[in-house]
Formats: sequence, C-alpha cells, structure tokens
Amino acid sequence: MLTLKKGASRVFIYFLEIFVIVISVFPILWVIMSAFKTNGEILSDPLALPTSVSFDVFIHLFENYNFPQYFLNSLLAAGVSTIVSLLFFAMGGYVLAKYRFPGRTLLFVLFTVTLLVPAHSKTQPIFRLIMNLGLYDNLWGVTLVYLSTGMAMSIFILRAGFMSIPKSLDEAAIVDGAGFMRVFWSINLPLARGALATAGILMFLNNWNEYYFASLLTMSDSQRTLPIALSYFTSEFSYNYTQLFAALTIVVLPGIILYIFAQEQVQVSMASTGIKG
Amino acid sequence: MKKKGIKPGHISNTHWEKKNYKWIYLFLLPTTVIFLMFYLVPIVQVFVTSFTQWDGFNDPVFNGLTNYQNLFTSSSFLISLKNLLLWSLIAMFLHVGFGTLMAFILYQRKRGWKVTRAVFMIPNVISAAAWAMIYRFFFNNDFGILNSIIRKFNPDFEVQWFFSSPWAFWAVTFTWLFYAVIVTLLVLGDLMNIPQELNEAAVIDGAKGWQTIRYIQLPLCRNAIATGVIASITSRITMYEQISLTTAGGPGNDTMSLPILLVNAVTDYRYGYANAIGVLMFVIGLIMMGIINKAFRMNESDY
Amino acid sequence: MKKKQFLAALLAGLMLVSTGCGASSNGGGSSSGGEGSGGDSGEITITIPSYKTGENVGAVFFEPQVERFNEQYEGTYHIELENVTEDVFNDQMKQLAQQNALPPLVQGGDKEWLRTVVFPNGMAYDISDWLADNPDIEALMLDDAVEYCTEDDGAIYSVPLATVRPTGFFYNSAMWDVADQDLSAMTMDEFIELIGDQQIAFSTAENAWVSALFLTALIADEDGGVDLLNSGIEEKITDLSQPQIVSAVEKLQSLLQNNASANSIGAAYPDAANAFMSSQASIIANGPWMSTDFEETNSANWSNGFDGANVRASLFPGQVGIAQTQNYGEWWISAEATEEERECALAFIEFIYTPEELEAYLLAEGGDAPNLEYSENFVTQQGETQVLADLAADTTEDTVFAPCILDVIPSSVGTSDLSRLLPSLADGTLTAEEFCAQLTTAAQEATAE
Repeated sequence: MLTLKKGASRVFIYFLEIFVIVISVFPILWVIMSAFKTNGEILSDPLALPTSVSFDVFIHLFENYNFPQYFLNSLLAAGVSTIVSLLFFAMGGYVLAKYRFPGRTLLFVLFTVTLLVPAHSKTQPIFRLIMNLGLYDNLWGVTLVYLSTGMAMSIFILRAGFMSIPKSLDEAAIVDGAGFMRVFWSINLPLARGALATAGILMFLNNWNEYYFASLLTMSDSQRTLPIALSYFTSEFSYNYTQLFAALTIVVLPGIILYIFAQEQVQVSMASTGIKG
Repeated sequence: MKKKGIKPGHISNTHWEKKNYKWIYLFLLPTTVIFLMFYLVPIVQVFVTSFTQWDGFNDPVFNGLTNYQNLFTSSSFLISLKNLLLWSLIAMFLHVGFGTLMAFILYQRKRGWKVTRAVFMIPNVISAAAWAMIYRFFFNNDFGILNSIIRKFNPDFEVQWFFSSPWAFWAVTFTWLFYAVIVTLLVLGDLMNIPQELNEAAVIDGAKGWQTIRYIQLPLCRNAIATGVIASITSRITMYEQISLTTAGGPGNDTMSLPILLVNAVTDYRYGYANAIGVLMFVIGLIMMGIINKAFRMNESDY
Repeated sequence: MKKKQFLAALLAGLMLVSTGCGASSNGGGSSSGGEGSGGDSGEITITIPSYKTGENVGAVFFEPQVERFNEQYEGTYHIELENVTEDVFNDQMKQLAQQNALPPLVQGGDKEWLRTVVFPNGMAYDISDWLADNPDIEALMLDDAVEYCTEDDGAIYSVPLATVRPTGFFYNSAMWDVADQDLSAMTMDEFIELIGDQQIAFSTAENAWVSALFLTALIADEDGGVDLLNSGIEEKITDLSQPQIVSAVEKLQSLLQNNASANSIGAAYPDAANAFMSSQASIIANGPWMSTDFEETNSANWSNGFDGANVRASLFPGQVGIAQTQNYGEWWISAEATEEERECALAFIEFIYTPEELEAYLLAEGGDAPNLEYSENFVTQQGETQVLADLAADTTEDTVFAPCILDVIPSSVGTSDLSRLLPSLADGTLTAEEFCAQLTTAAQEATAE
C-alpha cells in the first residue's frame, strides 16, 4: 500500500516535470526548426519537420548584418546594466526586507508600482534625459536605461529572498561585533544567492531581448543591439517567416546559452556553501 | 554556523536600526536615484494629464473628470475590469498554485529537477511577437496542434479557440497560465532556506509528509507565495501583447483589457484618456497589493 | 568564491569590449548628421534615417536610388542612410523633433502628427518658393496633392507626390480563368457572381488589411459610397452604421462565409499572402508593390504549384482604385537644416522627381504618374511585368479613386477594433448591423472629447 502510494506520487512528480520541460522547450525548438523550413511549409504545416537543412538564410543574415557587433553590444548593454542594477536593487531589497524605518512602505510601494507605468509615458522623459546627458546614439545611454527596467520585479524577488534568511543569523553576527556592511555582505548576500540569481537572470534576459528603447535611442549601426536586427524582419508587408525565425534564432540562442552557462555557475557556487542552516 | 540562545528582542533590534539609519538610507539611495531619474516624471505626468485633454505635443487642456466619466460609461472598460478581476483570481489560485506545486516537486530533488528548473526559465527569452505566433498556430482551427489531437477522437470537431465565445478568454489565459517560473523559484528559494532541523523535528513528532508540508513548509513560504501573487497580478494588469497579437480583445469584448484600451487611446492621440486608464491601473495595483499584504501578513518575518 | 571571479572576469571582458565600441562609435555622430563634414572635400553630406532599408520591402528600390544620387552628384552631395525599423521610426522622429534634433531631410512621419504638430509649429521648411522656381517639377505633381499640401498661408511643407498607386487585387489565372474579361468594368454584383466558389485570401488580424481593402471597394460600389469615404479625409468617419457601410458589410460577410480561404480567420497579412502564393486562394487584394513577389526571384516562397507568371491584376469593379491623392507626400525638410544641408536635400528631391527616376519607381513599385509623359522605353518595360501592365491598362481618366477605409476612420478602430470584431462577423455571431453598431460605438468612444 505504501509503495503503491509512493509509486503514484513518483509518477505524478515525473509527469509534472516532463510537462514543464515540454511546454518550456517546445516553443524554442519550434522556432529553431522553423528557421530551416520554407515560408509555405511553416504556414501550411507548422508542425512538420523541415524537409531539408539549408543554412542559406543564416548566411544571408550574417553577410548583410554585423551580427558579431550587435552581439557584443547586447552583451555589454544587458551585462553591465544587470550587474550594476542587481547590486543596487539588492541593497534596496535588503533594507526593505530587514529593517523598519520611516518611509519604508512608501518606498516599497513606489519601487514596485514602476511596473505599472505605461510605456508611452516613459518615452519622452527618457529620451530627453538621454539627450541631455549627451548619450543619444550611444550604447551607454541604452545601458543606463536598462538599469531601470527590472526595478519592480527585482525588488519583489530580492526582498522576498532576504526576508527568508533567518534574522537570528544577523543577530549572531552583530553580537560577534559585525557592522552593518558586514552583516549585509558576508551574511545576507551569500545566503540570498538564489534570489540574486533569479532576479539577475530575469533582468539579463529581459534586457537582452529589449528592443524599443534600444532602437529609439540609437541610430548608427555600430550602436545597435541584437533585438533591433530582429525587428528589421517584422515590418509591415514582410511575410518571410523563414528569415524571421532565423533571425529570432540568432538573437535568442546566445541568450539561452549565456543563461545556461550562468545558471551552471550559480549552482556550483551554491553547492559549495552548505546553506541548509 | 548558527548560534542559538540569542533572544531576538524587539528593543535591541530597533536600537540597531536607529544606529544604522545612515546605512539604511545610503542603501536605498541608488534605487531611489534610478526611480527619480526614470519614473518620477512619467508617474506625475500620468496623474496630472489624466485630468486634461492632451494630444501629447501641444499644451494639455484641463477638462476635469471628463476622461474618467468617459471611461466609466464605456462598456469595453467595464468588461476590461471584469476580465482583470477574473484573470487576477486565476493568477492567484491557478497560476501561483501551479508555480508553488512545481516548487514543492522540485524540492523533492527527484531525478531531473535541476534540468526542469533550468529550462522553465527559457520561455522568458522568447519575444512576445513570436510567442503570440506560436499560440496562434497551437490554437489554429485547421491545422493547429490542439484540434489535430482532438480530431483523432472526434473528426467533426471545429472550434476557433481565439475567435469564438467563450473559448477565447480561456485560450488567452492558457498562453500564460503554466509559465510560473518566477513563483516556482521564489518558493523554492524559501523552501531551501528552511532549517533542516525543523523538517527533522516534524518527522520525529510523527508528522506525515503532507502534514509537514501543510503545517511547516507552506506557512514558511508565505512571503514567497504572496510576492508571487503580487508579481503575477501586476503582470495581469499590464498584459498587452498576449492579447493584442492574438484576439485584439475580441470576440466582441470577451478578452478586452485595460492596456489594449490604453494603447488604442495613444493610437488616437488621446493621451489624457490613456493616462486616466494608466491612473486606474495604478489604483487597482495598489489596492491589490494592500489586500495581499494584509491577507498574507507579509510584513512579519518568520524567524 | 567562483562566482565572484566569474563576475569579475565578465565585467573586465565587458569593459574591454566597451572601450572598443566607444572608439568606433564616433562615426555615427549626432542625428543632425554631418554638419561639419562638408570640410575639405567640398562634398556636402547629410545623414537621413530611413525605414526603407535592409529587409523592408521599400529598400529594394530606395537603397539603389540613393546610390544613384550619390554617384551622379559625387563630390558635391552625398546621402548617408541609417537603418531604422519601421515600427519605431515615427516615435523616433517625434522625439527628435521635440529635442530640435531632426535630421535635415525627413521621410514620412505620422500624418496626424505632421498636420497638428510639425507644420503648425514651424518645424518644417517651406518649399513653396523653391517649387515656384522649379515649375517643371510642380507640373509633375498631382493637383490634388499640391492643393492638399498647400497651407492656408500658401506655405508648402510636405513635398507633394507625383505618383498615385491605386490598389486593386491580384488573381491567379491558372485557378480562375477570367483574364479575357475586363473585371474592373463590371459592377460589383456581376463580379461577385463571377467569383462563384473561388477562394479569396482574407486577413482579419492586425489591421485586417486584405479584408479592409475589399470592404473599401464594396463601400465605394454603393450609392454615394465614394463621397462617404472621401468625407473621412477631412474628418474621420465615426458613424459606421450608415446604410452604405451596412450594406457593404453584409456583402463582406457573405464573402467571408462563402469565399474565404481556410485560414482567413485570425490570419495576419503573411498568412493571407501565403494562402495566395500556395494556391490555396485565387484572389488577394493588395497594392501594386506586391508585384515583386510574383517575380521568379521570389520563387522560394511559392509552393503547391503556384507560379507568379499566372498572376494577373485588376482594379476593383466599378473602376475603383484605392488610393488617396489628397495627402501629404513622402518627404519634408527640417526647419533646423543648415543652408548646405537644405541644398543637398533639395537636390535629392529634384533628383527623385526627374522623369527617369519617377519611371524607375513606377516600374519597381507600380502606380501611375498622370502628369508625366512616359518614355517609350518605359511603356515597353512596364508591359513586361504583367500585373503592372494590367493595372496601368485599368488606370484611366474614368478611374474612381477612393481612400482606404482604414485611413478615414479613427486609427484605433482600424488597428484594433476591426480585428476584434471581424471573426464574429465571419462566423455569424454578429449580423452586419450589429457589427457596424459595435464599430460605431468604438469609433465614437475613440473620438470623444
């Protein structure tokens, strides 16, 4: 009876795991697969496998667009902004989670309602700001804007992460004579790795894919990022899905590879510190 | 690593905070600066111009509550509110519920849990446009995956999932329902921070598996779950592409949403009206946050 | 602390990359581009952002045209193109205008924005004097266009068009053999009867482009329909329950129910285009620029036995061509442009209005230049592209021009409400009256004070 129950729950667990893997991996596989099909094949038989493998589209794309440059630009804009803003938001999320002080609720609310600011109302103020800073048509302008984009979600995630770290650890460290910085840097930050990884990965992926501000704030080819290249293929009256999916693959795949690489790093470092309490 | 025997008395705590106000505000400074640079002007502008008629370029003209009156007499708007409420409930129970369930399943660390956790994030990489396209193909009546399967059992089956009542609402819901990786990671993070002794103590006390979950683990994930609910509901308030690229709010007004109305207003250069919708999105978001904060007692720490 | 090392390495790497990028970025310069670049060579260079670049359909003609200009004026003028994506282009121009940083020569821009913001606020350069000095160019321009572009005070900001591209429809003569009949000379009822059970590629998603063209043609066919459509140019139509529209919608509903190709409901433009180019539909409404899709070079996108050589074109029954002549042109010059930049910009405009360039444009993208006397060479070449020849033969003095319905209703109704309601019209959930009533509600809400 017990083993049967155990078996049933195991089946249930594996079923859900497989379900999640399928719904997560299928779309991206479909995109990659479609890059190798003709337009007609994609539209009339979207599920069929490609009849032949041809890299012509990719060759066309690489010959006509400076993808390595776009790639480096994307890496720079998304990478720097993620690292810097992760530190900033970790500091903010930490004190919001662990300390009581005047204005705490107000600040938390302000930081999180940023998620609800309509995009159209941000366009003009941000454009003016970047112009005034002399960063128009400059990748650093885009990077600066990316500092702001993940604010609400990161504060959510990091605050929750810091909240789940037992306060008794802080108190023990304080008794041992640790100062504010050390309690943050040596106790809380390492223990919040999971939340940091989640927030960081999420911000990185979002910024990696962001294209509206990237295209609005740059103009010359040398400052363009990958997703802008993608939007070249979605203009009105373009119907070449093969190219679109090939471009999508070129944009999305490096993002995923970087993500898996980073995920591995985070897991390794998590395993090396036994933080089971 | 963990010292026992120190009472976490409130008095010493407050003292420690007072002593460190300087640090606390210093830590908040960078986030606050970013907020002031990028969000203050837009937020103020949205609120102020929601009481005006404004084309976005020429000077706004004050028109009192006209925008709000127009909104509350528009049937599309009222249906949007109803849809938002329904989607919020679905997000709260089913979406967050599924995310939490996955967290507990991954917490069992059965084979493949790391892979599952890793790939669950991948859908976040795909742009909304491609996403909508994938689901248009999935739900397509003629050759879509779903109907192809159903026709194996019922050859005469015909449903335009995105374009007929009442299916469209559920088809749109389906495009985000199971993508709950943020909730899963939040809850999983909390689960992994539960001191091992607590779980062991429960087992010694004779608690069965689900009892441990119900009385020890679930309550300790309260904050993560609440955060997940807030994050999920705010995403529902701002949900745009999933709808505009599939049903555009139809059929009729079945899947109408506030962001669709907002973007339509911007398309027509009615920034005052658009911003009135923006204000209501703020208000709804704040109310929901308040309710969830209270319901989950979010400000109380567990340890 | 592997993670820290990793992050440090990543950061260092990024810094290296960034310094490299920074160094190479100076070439781009500010948007008002190349102000100082006249310099030693004496060549005036202007940089203009354009969406007709790269993968855009317009690039096929436009990029080589700029090349030709640069060749012809080598040493004097030079135009540098920046690739801007279409969906951000208008936003970017709006923002640059607010910061007084417009490029010297501006392509297009949102009509409503030009009319209410740019032109009244003196952001554009008045070309009326220049036009007066170049009567041969003015003579080429469409009378309607010149009239529309002339402001109350006589200023002309937008360069009026010299060409009109009436939109009709294409059909696959291998599937529907009616090439011997003059379809545009028929009445709409005769035409619908002739269609029989042929399939039409409709689209209902996005702005329902293909369906909207048919709806326009159906409205134009009603009594007073053309006047109704034209009335929307000055002031958007908000009463969409007028009898002509209801009657046209009824016919559209019948077409959607009986003649729509299988994937029409929920179809975006690419789906409709593909239905046509895979022989699943024999009729599609679209502008003459689609002619390039039927050339052999595009055969990779054909399937199921489709052959571009079989495609014929026609204007709509009742000799209706969908086009709006009372409109702004494609180009205008920024008021901020320096004298040198303006000189270069005007030289470019002069260049694209030469008969050779206009003819090249018509050959590439279709259309008609009513005030231009065509060269013999042009006539033979146009004859070689079957669909363009078909359209040219249909475009006569009797052609009735009507603006597309999407341009005469509030924008949001076209971009959002049509696609929201069309599927319900197609499956019969909504009657034509109900459909029109809902559109009217949407249109009135979209224009409320």
